[in-house]
Amino acid sequence: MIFHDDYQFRGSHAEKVNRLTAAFNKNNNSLFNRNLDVYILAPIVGFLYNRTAELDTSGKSTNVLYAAMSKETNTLWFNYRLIMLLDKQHEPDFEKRVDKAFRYYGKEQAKPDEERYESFVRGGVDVLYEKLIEPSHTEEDYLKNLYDFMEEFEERYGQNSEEIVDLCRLARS
Amino acid sequence: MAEQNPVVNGIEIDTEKVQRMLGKIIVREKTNLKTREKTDAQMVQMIKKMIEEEVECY
Amino acid sequence: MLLKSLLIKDFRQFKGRQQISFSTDNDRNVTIIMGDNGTGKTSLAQVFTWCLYGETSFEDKILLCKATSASMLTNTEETVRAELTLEHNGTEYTIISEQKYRKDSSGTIRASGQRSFDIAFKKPDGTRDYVKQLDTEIRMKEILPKELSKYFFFDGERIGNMSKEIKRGRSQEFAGAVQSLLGLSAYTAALSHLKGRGNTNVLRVYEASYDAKSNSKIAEYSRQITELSEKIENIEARLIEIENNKEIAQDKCTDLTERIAKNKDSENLAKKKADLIRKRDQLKSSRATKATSILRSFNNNAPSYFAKKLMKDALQALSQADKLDKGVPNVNDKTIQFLLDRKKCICGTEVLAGNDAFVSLTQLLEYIPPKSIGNMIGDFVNKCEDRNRAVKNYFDDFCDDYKFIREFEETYAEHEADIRKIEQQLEGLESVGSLQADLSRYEKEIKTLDSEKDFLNQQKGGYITKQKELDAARQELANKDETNRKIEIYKAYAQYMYDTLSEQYAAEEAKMRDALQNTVNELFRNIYNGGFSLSLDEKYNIQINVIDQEAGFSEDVETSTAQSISVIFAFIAGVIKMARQSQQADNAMLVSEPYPLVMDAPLSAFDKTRIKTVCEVLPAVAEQVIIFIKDTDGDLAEANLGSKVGQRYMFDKKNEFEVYIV
Repeated sequence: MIFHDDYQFRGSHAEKVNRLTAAFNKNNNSLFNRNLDVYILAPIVGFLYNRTAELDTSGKSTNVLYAAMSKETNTLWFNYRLIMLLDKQHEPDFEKRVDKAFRYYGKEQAKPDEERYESFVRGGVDVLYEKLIEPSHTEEDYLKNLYDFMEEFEERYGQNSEEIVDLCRLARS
Repeated sequence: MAEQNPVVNGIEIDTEKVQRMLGKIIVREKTNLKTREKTDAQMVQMIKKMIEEEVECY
Repeated sequence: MLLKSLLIKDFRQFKGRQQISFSTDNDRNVTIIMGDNGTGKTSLAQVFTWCLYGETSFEDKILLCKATSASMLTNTEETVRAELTLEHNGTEYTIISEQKYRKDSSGTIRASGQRSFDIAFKKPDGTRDYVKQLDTEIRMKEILPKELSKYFFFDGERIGNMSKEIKRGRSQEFAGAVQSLLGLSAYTAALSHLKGRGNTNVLRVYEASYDAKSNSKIAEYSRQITELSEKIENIEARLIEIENNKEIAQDKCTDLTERIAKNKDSENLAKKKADLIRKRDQLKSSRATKATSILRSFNNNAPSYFAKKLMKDALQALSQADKLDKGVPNVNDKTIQFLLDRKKCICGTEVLAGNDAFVSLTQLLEYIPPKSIGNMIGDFVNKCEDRNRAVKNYFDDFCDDYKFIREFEETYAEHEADIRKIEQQLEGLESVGSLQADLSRYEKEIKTLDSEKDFLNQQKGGYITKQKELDAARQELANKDETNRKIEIYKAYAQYMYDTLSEQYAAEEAKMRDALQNTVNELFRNIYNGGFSLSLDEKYNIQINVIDQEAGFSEDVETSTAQSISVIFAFIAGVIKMARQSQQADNAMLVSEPYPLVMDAPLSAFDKTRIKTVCEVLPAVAEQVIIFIKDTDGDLAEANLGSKVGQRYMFDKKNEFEVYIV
């Protein structure tokens, strides 16, 4: 079941994850601390950029250990739910999406959903690698590209914070 | 007119004699530099004799 | 001194016996030896210094011609020989130097024994005799003192060192050599015979000859006086030493002070650099810390931040679909089942299969645990709220942090650039610290020397006073005795003669030095048309002055190579010229003799016009000019010297190791 076992990045994605977590300067700074951190962010990025990727079984692999994962299950399920709720391509019917998000998760019938999720994970890894690693050559490049990436995102998706607050208030009333 | 003769250690010096002697000495030294005939000691003796002779002379 | 001929055997590139006869004609007094670089000009030039003093500046000390040594059998010997025949003070001398070389069993050439040095001379009757071995050095010193030789065997390649020497001055040695050259030696000899150091002088002899019989006290006084004289002499010798050492130390101090001043900048720059480096490193670590915190923050906040849009959309969708408020707190399926089973609702309404209440309750099952997702949705909403709050300012914070880093980057780059600039400036500047340490050391040495000097002077003063006392006492006694009185008279004369001669000598020397300075300046102006003049001090150090007509003051000017050569030329030319002049003057007081000039390729350092003047001045000044030149300079030399050339030779290079002079 998803999030209940070690997770393996494989092939080209494993390589990319290694690069994303590698130190890029003498201070041992890296963009992502652990493979888990990539695993947490990648699906969101993959979904936003609408990128999926096939599993690449060739080559090496790199793990996210369950031991680490178990500490972040809240976050992981949260991300899963977000994507299930909004992935119209995968399921056009909202009610069904709600079920996927809140009812069927973790069950046998969630298999295709989990696979969909995983493909976003891989797609997200591709995006992150393209945006943050590929164009970076010097130490300064890494931070700059991160900044550019963030700026691009902020521009494209705007603020949203206020609306969220309102919606939450609404939800409780 | 005779000039005041210099006095050294209470002894009056005849400058004419001195000039004569010096002239001769220089010439002898010059020669000796060429011929290297006389040693320093011999030159010293020569000069001594010269002084003593000159002093005694009138 | 006139060079007549040179005979060499197997000296470096010159295989076998080779001979050069130098032109001794009065008018055609130039001998030209022409050859390209590498043909052996420098070798030949150094034959003279080797022959006369056993010195060469070659790295390879094996002088034996390699062509000859190659054909040697093992365990055999060959000799290198040089014979220089010259005329000095009316006598013909042949200076002979010889060095044996042996090829050992492994085929290596080694020097065998020391160089042998002989001076042969022609006696008035025409027969040859040899100077006694013990005297050869002295005789050589008289013919041409080594200190001066480098000015007559003019190695053009050593100009740089020579001009420095002129600036720093081999002061006393040089002065002494010049004096002997200019013929003041008769003076100095006479002076030393009258009252020189040691016991071989008139005054000392008289001192010793007091007749002790008449009065033993006189003998006692004499002995004490002699003792004191010795002590005084020792002190004087040491004082001279001290002066020399002081001079050397003083020179070093001046030099170091100059360098420190020049390099003071380096101290400031070094400080600045250290400062900048510190700042830069601080920046570096701040930046590093910042970078780490940015990345940490990113790792923590990015998921939520990136999810903001998604959260909004999800919440919107959920609220629109009215899913957000279904469900009843603390009611689960057991509760509903209970109600369904008892067929009665909490409010009392009957719950019968199919009726509204039944339908509502059953529907509710969908929305309460375990089937309810309402709580989960509620939970979800809470999470959205939390996450949103957490990252509300994330982007702004991130931007601020990144701005810091950008600024760091700029300032860092600035500092780096400044540091590089300073490093460039520092290159070539010496460390002031070590210069300073040296300076302090020399200053201390000078102080020590000075205090020793003071002490010694005091001592000396004491001795002299005592001496005077003793002398006066002795005189008194002596005057009572006829013999001793006579000695007093002789002594008085000797003393007066010494004093008079000293005065005359000093006057002559000053006159000579002045004349030399003028002659040198004349020649200098001829050779080098600049606003320069030279001045000589009592120690015969040369100072180059700039004649700035407007300002009317002089400054010491750093001379370039060509200028240095001009200086040296002018100086030597001046010395030689004066030596020749005094030969002609009817001045029996001075002994001097003209000297030749043996020059190794100095023309290359001059420009064309300078060569012309040099070629005009030289033969007119030196009795004899023997000049080594490059083929390329040859035409120039011919053009300018042509009429004065008496002998011509060329280097014929057979191969690297074999050169013949033709």
